[in-house]
Amino acid sequence: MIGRLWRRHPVLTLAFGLALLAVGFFGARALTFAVTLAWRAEQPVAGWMTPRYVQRTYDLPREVVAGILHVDEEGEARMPIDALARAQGRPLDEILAEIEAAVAAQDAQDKAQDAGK
Amino acid sequence: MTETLLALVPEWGALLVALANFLACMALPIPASLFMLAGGAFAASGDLPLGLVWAAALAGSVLGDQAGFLLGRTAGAPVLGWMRKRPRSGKLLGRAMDWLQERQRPAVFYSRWLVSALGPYVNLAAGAARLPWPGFALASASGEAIWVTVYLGLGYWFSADIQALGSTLGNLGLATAAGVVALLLGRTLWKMAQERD
Repeated sequence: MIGRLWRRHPVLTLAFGLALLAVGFFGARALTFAVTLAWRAEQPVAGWMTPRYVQRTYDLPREVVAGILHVDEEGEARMPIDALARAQGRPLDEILAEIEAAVAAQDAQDKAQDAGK
Repeated sequence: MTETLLALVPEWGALLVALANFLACMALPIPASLFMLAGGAFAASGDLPLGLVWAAALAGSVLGDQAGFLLGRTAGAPVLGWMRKRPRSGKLLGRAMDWLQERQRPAVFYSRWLVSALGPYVNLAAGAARLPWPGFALASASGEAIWVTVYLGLGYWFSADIQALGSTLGNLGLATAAGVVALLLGRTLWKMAQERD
């Protein structure tokens, strides 16, 4: 049957086969990403994040984030970290490392508090 | 690449989300769903006003649907005429048009959100097939409202994981669209094989 379809409607049959392949390919990729999403730890701090996003996502106090990024409450709050870094002439990697360190310190502090209860 | 795009969202906000949705509805390869997840996430962090982003996203996608419909209506006729002249594709085209005429509103409605990767092509086809405009507009607007609400909502609630979520949903969406295409092609092939016997 497949052979006969292939002779009579080569384009349609090919398209059908490709569509089936695409289901498998994208389905497997979706599954891989879903498993990664469920298993991995927090996403790393990145240049596209804004000060408020960092504050909320990593549960950091506002003063800590504001201190590292040199931002005040309103003015530059909507700018992503990489834009802030460029405006301030500081290397992005350095800022990201500082935030990662603050996140690690915060986590350690939370753990110590939990242990002390 | 993803990170560069994400960095645009807090600065350009509602305008970017609206424009991305508008262009994506006309089959241009714009990652509108990623922008919407990011819009939801930055609304959650307090960088963007959620209501405005929602309204802008809805306006962009509804206008994009209308533009795609109009494009199909004006530019579709010559393409359809050319296809009709060829015996095989003419027959196939007839089937596709009948299918679309029978299921106008569900086809438009479900291709807005459930099988959204097919949405832009349904817009063009709906215009080319000259489906009645009020039905198209109603199905388009109600479907887009679901799509916009779901994606902004997901971005809002899972704001800490939008990159991984975007990759998962993007691939899931393509797999679903390919599944629907495979189903429709399989059915067509099946019917054609039986007709010949």
